Amino acid sequence: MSKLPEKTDTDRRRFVAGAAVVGGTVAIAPGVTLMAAGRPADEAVTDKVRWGLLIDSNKCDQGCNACVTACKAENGIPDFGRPATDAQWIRKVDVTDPQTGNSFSLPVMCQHCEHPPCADVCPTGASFKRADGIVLVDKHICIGCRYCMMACPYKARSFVHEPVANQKPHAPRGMGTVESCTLCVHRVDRGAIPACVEACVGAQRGAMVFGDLNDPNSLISRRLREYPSTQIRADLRLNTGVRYRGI
Amino acid sequence: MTRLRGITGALAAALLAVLPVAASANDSRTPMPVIPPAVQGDQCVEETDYMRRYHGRILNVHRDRTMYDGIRTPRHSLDNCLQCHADPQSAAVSTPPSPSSQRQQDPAFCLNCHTYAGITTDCFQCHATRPSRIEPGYRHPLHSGMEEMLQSIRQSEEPVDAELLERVADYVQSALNGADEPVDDEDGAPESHSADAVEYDSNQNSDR
Repeated sequence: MSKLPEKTDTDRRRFVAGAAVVGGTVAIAPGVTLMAAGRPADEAVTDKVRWGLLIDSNKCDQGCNACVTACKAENGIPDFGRPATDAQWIRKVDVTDPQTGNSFSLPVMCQHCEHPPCADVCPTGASFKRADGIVLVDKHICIGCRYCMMACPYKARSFVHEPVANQKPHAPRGMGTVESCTLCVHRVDRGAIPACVEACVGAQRGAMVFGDLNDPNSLISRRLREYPSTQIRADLRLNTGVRYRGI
Repeated sequence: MTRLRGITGALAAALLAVLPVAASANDSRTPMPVIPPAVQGDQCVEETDYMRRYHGRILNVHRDRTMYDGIRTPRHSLDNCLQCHADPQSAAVSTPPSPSSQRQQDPAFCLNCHTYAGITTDCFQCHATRPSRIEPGYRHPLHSGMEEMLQSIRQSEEPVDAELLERVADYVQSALNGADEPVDDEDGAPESHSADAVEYDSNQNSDR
């Protein structure tokens, strides 16, 4: 194929400029600024960045579902009212300590492990980790065996049981394949933040921070350095990209 | 040697004589697939002949570059194909979708050739059949066989959750009617490829 004279992706700058005007909250401005050093659309991702999320359950409201709603709208995931089998890329989990009665809430999605068990067990190589740490399913070679769903300690993956119509152009999905949170890879690739994070800011919570774990100056790295945080099932040593505070 | 040349010449002459006949016979007797013209633009992202032969390979290569490397240049993306080759003139745009038997008559760009050649297109089992930048409610008649699938589920002997099936059917139906929110992002951020596409439109005659 011929080499194409593609233009540098200028929209990222426009997005940053727009967000600086719109985003009145403290959280989005630094969160977006750290994204400014993105890459052009025609350059491959590298392992110089590792995308991650920091979720502060102290700021996460039990009654708030904004991240889940935003995810479904962004990726075109329908709700058939059958929670046992409906596709679910992100879910809210309410936890209560039976001894003290203390309860808190947190969103759980694909934890984008450094050593993803889903990719280990996948018989076709459909489950894979992108160079920048985002764990994805190549649905072109997924045979729907659901080994990865068994292997995932976070119950993060869903199998598409029903015929699918009216998919979003950026989020292809079809019956017979497994899918999970993509960390809104189509948005990240153009320099934007995931839909759930954006919704969390929009809901005046600011409980989620998205950024580059490899960049010591990114907001997420600074927060991780300043405050104690944890990984769910840290004992498995998967080195998840999603970290939590207050759990 | 001269004799051989003579034979070759005679053969060539015979071929020349036969060829026009063959071509005209091709036009009149052989059914050919209907290839609807592109809606926008008068030139594809590559030469038409090249695209006709290698579009599958181009899409496969771009698919892997996008998925594994995050390269999202619009030029060879499936979404970009739909921008021009999804046909708004067909009845499926303004009227509810016709039964699949009549749908075969629609000027479906991909399906017509693939049906003719007997090669299945699996793309649209997962991929959107509507381009990302188009007015809400627009849908072109590429279809993924969902109606046939629902029909076969209805007719199967196995026990089916009837209520769920109806919900799925309603959803598919509403999706086919385009009764959904606008496809464009609502977050205020411009689609990353929209500026590129404008750029591409102005460059497309000069960049080869």
